[in-house]
Amino acid sequence: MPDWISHILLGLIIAELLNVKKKSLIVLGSILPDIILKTYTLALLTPVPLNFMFWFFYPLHTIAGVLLFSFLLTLIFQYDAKKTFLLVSIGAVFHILLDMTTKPILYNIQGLLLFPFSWQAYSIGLFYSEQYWIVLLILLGIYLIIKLIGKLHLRNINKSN
Amino acid sequence: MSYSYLEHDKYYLSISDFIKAPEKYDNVLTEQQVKIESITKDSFTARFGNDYITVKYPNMQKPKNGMVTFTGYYKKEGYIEAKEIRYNNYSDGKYLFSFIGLFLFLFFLFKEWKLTPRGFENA
Repeated sequence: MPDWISHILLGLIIAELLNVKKKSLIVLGSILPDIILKTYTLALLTPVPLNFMFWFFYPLHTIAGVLLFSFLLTLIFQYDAKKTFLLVSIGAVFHILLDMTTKPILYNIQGLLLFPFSWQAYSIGLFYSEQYWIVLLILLGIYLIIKLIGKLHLRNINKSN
Repeated sequence: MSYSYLEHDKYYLSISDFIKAPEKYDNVLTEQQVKIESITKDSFTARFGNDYITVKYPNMQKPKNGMVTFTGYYKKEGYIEAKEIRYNNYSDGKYLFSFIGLFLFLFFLFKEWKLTPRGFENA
């Protein structure tokens, strides 16, 4: 599982590529699957008794869970509901895809793509958990290149006008 | 996909399940990522929230500012016998980056929206 800056960078990259006006909705989606699950992760670092809540939180970190949550979020944003749902969902699905790059020894619990229909876990398996910084640098590089290309493109348009 | 679905195509057993009834899950394979509480010559104590479980693995070392990921078998006596260990050295940094990421997210959110009694509206 990459860190949140990596997830946000991927959200921003998608938002730039799709030329989205409300980038923050994709950014929100890009960390949405973790927002609730991370409460459980605190149990790894603190003596808070959260283990029993694992299977309550976990379904929210699946595609079915994030689609449900994206729908609920349309209720609190005073914006086009379809667009809100779509943008948050896109960010959230890319969050899960990025998590799938984590290489497990055996079982990547981040990759329950077909839950609740199946417990099969999928993984692209590119980086170990402690190699999160590689993902971060790659995404930062891609984001900066996209921004640079965008600026150059704008400059050319301004010149030709 | 280099790692497709592997051994678990049904409900994946949680540590809480194992603690409640270890005799039911003898020799079931598991993968866990844990903080290490203490180490002895032939085992270490893994911390799962407020639960502690003995994991048998010889010549264990404490990871540097991070966790360990291991695979192993649940044993009916209430411990886990590890067969493979991966040291996630410096993985704690991920939580620091995520904490910074939270503020980054809030920056983007409130750049475009303002919170009102009716929810988020255009800023």
